[in-house]
Amino acid sequence: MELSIPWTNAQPVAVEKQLPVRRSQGLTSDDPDLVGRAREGDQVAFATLFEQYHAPILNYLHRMVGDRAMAEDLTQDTFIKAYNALPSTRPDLAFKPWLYRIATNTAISQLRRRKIVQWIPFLPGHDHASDQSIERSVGRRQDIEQTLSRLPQHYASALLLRHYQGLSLAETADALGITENAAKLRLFRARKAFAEIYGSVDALDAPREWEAR
Amino acid sequence: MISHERAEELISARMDAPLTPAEHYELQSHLAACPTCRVFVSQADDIARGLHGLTRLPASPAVSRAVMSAVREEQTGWAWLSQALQAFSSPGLAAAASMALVVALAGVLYVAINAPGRAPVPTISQGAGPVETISAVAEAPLPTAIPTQAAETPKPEAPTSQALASAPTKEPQPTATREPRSVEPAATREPTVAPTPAPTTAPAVEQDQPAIQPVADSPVIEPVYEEPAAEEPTLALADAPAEDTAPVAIAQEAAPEEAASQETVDTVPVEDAAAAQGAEPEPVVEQQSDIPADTTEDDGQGGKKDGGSSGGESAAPEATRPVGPVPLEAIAALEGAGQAPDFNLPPAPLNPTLPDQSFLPVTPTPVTDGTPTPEQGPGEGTGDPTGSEAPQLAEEWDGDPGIAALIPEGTLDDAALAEAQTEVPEDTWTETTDTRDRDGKKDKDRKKGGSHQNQQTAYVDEPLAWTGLDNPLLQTAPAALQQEADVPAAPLPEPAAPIELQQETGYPVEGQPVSDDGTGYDDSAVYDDGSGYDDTAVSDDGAGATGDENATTTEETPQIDPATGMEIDPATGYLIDPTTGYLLDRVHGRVIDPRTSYEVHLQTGLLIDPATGALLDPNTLAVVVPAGFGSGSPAYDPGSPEMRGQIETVVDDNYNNASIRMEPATDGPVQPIGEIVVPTETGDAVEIS
Repeated sequence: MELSIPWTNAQPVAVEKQLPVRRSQGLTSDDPDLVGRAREGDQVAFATLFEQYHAPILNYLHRMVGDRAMAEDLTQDTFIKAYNALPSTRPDLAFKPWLYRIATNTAISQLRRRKIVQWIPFLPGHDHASDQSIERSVGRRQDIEQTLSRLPQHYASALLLRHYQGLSLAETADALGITENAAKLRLFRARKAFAEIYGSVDALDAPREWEAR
Repeated sequence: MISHERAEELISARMDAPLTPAEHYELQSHLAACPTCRVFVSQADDIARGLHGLTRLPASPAVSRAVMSAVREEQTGWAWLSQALQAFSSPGLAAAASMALVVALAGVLYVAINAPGRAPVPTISQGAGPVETISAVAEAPLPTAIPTQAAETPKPEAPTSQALASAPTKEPQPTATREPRSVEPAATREPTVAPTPAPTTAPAVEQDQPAIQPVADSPVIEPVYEEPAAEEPTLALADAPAEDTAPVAIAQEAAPEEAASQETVDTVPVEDAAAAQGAEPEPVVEQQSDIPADTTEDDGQGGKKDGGSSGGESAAPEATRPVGPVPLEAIAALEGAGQAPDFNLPPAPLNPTLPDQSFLPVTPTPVTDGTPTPEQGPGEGTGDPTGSEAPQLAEEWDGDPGIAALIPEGTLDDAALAEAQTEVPEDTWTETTDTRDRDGKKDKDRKKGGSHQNQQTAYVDEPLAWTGLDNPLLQTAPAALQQEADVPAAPLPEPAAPIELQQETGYPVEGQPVSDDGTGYDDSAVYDDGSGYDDTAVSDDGAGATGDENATTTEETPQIDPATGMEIDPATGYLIDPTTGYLLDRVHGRVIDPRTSYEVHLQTGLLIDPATGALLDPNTLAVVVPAGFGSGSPAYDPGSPEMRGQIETVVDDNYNNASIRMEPATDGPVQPIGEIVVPTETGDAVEIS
């Protein structure tokens, strides 16, 4: 079958024309017209959205699963799912959190299929973080990544969406499929868990434990 | 005072959304006294920064290729069918489509029954257009021709060329709507769309209907659409009778699945077509309502208008009902698709950036030397945007008579502090023989190598110290004082023999002016004029009563209280605690610092600023923030940089209603009136053990 849309020719034009405007305005919402056309099946519009969210979703999934190859696969799955599900979405769809929700669910599903559940150590008596400031070692990116990998998935996703992807609280809540208050609470617990794990040298040095659910 | 857990929640919440003033104030109060939570503040901020600073992968070309190819396959496959099914997945659409189908069948039956011999209405170009178009589409190589066409029919942003070429007869509405778009917006945003979707059907139509194309291209269409009475496009007026165009419109607006029935409907007589038309647009409306915002409402309105008008205007518009008329409202809505209010944008981020946290003492900015800047108000120069949120404290500090009264300049500069320290030499407090907290405190200070010069001191109480169990004031004089404080007006027992008591105490007896009224202590006048102490000395306001004066006086003629054996302050008439040097006001049950005339906090031994209620270090008059205040964690690191900053505090006697405002220190000298910089470099802070 012939393809009616020259993808390679159409994408750059659309991206170049829209992304700068989006960035300059600091918009976090999606172009309704673009999403609407993508919902209609406009492949160019979808391609524009894909170009816009390709890297963020890839990075988000990379941080979620910790494996680049898997993240690429999950990214592909995410966008294909999004493309197929777009026509059935509501007109007032908030594309960005919706896309992140797909990505989150895709990643968690994939991890569950692999029967990998990360185990977070319980640190009794360590309710409060030590005086050692994380800031001193914030440059230790590996520690942060390692800490992140040890967080429960729902905590990691919340932190990544909020701080790594820069989603607002409302968007984070929407992406997680929870209310804003629940997102606040989850972020609070995620931060505490992150601080505890990060502040615990033993936890970082301990061998990574995996267990099948 | 909020709990520790609550404070941590607020610390986390402030990173997601601005706190309310009350929450902000609560958090500040807690942070000022809770180093553990300040650590969590730092950690939470570091987490955000650390996560944000993680490396990011570039876009993967492999993913791009895979996704695009997958999408193409989806699009060119049977995706149209799934889309169509999805479109009818909504109840409204399904109901509308069902009704339209029923009406169409009813029309067919009516024709078959009532006009069996009647020949079908000949179709003109417009009427035949759709049929031919559909058939041409059906012959098109791509099976997606029909659904693509149907899906794109309501698209207002379809390129003009495409609209003109694709459906001159079948869709005047896109033509009408694209006319204005092709001038402004379409020129900029549609170039990439131009070669898109519909082209699969467009060429076929273009070839089949060449004669109509110029009509569609002609600008005559616009004025035709602007006339309300002539909702029908030019095509209908020029070429087709209304009765023929109506079925065409129905056929065009019908769902793709109804393409089979369109030919049948096409043969419906005018009267029947009118009835059918009244029902047909419904599915069109519903179907289009599933289309995204910018196009949905426009086409939906047009569709609804079409369907509604066909019922309401059943008489007149009947004859003029043209090919798929698009109401002007719909056209206008299409033209203004960009401003269509039907699309709810995603909620704007509450605060994409982290809230300003300058009020939090997490920045280890070097502490200044405490050089005061009296003209600088609270919060000024600190960059604290939250200063307005808790202005009441700052305002309360403005007229601070307590601290300001101690220093003539009205400021707490270094010189004043040094002078204050000079006025009350440390020896004054250490000359006592018992080893008490105050001595230990100084020892700690010296041991840590800190210097109080040019700096004020932050005292940190251990929580246990609040109980007063180890407080010297509660162990010595205040005990007796408190016992008698309950009966302030009751006269003390008369001294049996003052001279004898004086002798027993070892104080000089001769020349000792004792209260000569024989009552010992008279509330109205402790000493009469004949005692050698005039009223002027007694009625001293207290503020000016210095230890030096008292010392001078007492050295010369010390008076001894016969009941307690304590020395009597000749200036005030209060007893002088031999251990601490404080004055004991037995009448009111107070302990007074002779140097400042401030009341002494019985449980902590700190001075109570009468203006603010703040607890002050008796040596340096620095505001004391007890460590572990409000929490069970008394941990305090004197060298912690988080302890730096400006502190405003109002603490009641019970530590229950403390409100402390803490601002981070800045590089410049910041010490507004009423605010005290608490330098807490290593060794500067002293713990009261």
